[in-house]
Amino acid sequence: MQANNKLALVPLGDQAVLVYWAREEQAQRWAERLQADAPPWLEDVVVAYVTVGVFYQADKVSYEQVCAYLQGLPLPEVSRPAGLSGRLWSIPVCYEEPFATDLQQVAIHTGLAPAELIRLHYSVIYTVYAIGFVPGFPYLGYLPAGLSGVPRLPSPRREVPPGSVGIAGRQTGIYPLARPGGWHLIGRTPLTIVDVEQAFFPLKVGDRVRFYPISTNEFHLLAGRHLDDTFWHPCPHDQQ
Amino acid sequence: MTLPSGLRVVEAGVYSLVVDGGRPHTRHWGVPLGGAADRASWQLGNALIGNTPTAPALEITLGGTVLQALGPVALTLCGAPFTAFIDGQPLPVGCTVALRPGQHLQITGSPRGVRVYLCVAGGFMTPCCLGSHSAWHPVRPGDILPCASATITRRRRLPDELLGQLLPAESGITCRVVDGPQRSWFPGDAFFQDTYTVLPATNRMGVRLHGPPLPRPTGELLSEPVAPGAVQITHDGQPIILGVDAQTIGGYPKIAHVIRADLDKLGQLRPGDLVRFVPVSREQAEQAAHQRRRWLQQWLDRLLMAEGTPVFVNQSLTD
Repeated sequence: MQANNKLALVPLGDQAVLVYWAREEQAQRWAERLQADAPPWLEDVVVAYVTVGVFYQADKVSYEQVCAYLQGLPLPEVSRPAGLSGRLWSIPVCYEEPFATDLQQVAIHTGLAPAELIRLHYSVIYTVYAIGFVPGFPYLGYLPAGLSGVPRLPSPRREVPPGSVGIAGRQTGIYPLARPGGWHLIGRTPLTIVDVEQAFFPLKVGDRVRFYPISTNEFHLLAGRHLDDTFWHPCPHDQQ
Repeated sequence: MTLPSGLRVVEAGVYSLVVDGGRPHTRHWGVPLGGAADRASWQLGNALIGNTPTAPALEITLGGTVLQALGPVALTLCGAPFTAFIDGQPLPVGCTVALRPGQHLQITGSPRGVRVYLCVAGGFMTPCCLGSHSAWHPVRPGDILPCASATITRRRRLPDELLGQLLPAESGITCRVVDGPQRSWFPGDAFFQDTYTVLPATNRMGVRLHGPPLPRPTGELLSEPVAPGAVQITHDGQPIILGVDAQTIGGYPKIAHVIRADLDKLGQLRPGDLVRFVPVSREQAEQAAHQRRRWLQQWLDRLLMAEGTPVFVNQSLTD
């Protein structure tokens, strides 16, 4: 690691600064380092794709001091691939009725048979690139080429059931809470992936996620379980 | 031991929410900052009733709220000049008062501003989640807002001079802004020359504005972290100023960012109000923040300490 003074820093108002990176994994690794360092003025670190938002207590530290500190942090090693957390989640998804609400629409859009697009969806390992939109919603990327490019619904649904798995553009995601949503829904996980009251937010930016298909029967057997530590295992870097 | 008391929600009103300072440390989970939209009014109300400035209070937006006291409750209203009544008797904003069990507090409407804070002695004792008492949903009829049983020792009143400073001017407001991360996407100064009108679709998530549309930039932005005060330009060229309940990440380009000294003003904007933006330097933003902080701290100190005697007394089992 080497010191550097050429971070791309841009103020976000007068209480935060954005740090832009070329690659998602650089942003993730650098943010993890900053969180571990935890300078006393640090309020929060938010990673979204290639950008890190550093929120600071502006009444205790100046923008210049924050920038000087950030410039002094070691650069992340870029040789290691994405998924720095080293956690690979295996999340069960039922792609059957009544959970695959928009499967036929997606089949028409992509020109793929439903069975083939389902197989494509669970065939790759995704990375959590951002968490937002609603508390705990993981933005997972990127979809295989054949499954990419499905637009958002013409108008959002008023309420998407929790656990719904949707796709839009190059991304897939899981709705953690019952909220309005505009993505095409192709399945649902029976697991609770967020419990706000219990401060339960298991997925972190940089985590890896793999889906596996389950039947409606298995869905009902797993219903209500939390996405706890039994659903991930360490992910050796050479397998990422 | 303090006796429990509380307020029962008879009419919820347009949007009434228990708030405090919000959740500044869980944005990385996608949890919005939240909390009081007009933090100065909320803190001053608490100080007036003798609380720590950051005690949980009820933020009443646009009014229509009716509450009934379950026991003795000492309280005050602070913020926009709402009309309020206790069993039909007027209660001006910025005055302390004690409700007797069974009495009704009715908060109707305000000619200016949109938010008033109902601060009760000791603060509302509602559940804490992720380090904050700010509620996820507005109150509903039948809800109970628990608080301590208390009565006031003497009446206090905020000076009119101070109440006037909590409101936007009738002619509209000027927001001081620094450049947003995508300022260069919008060539020229049209944004600073135009006057914008606040639209009805304004809420705690954002202030929607209407004015001469800015040319839509050709680029697409990858989603990045955002914060309250960010001025986004949507695809139709109109600005949205993000509010305290805004999402934590967003993909619209941000032309400007309202400085922290002016964020409270946003919380009192109502549909039809006029907004202008004026650019300031980072140094000017810091100076303004320093001034604003000193102004608020001086009033808080005066209300909390200068008077020496307690503002309210709890009713306890030993009384």
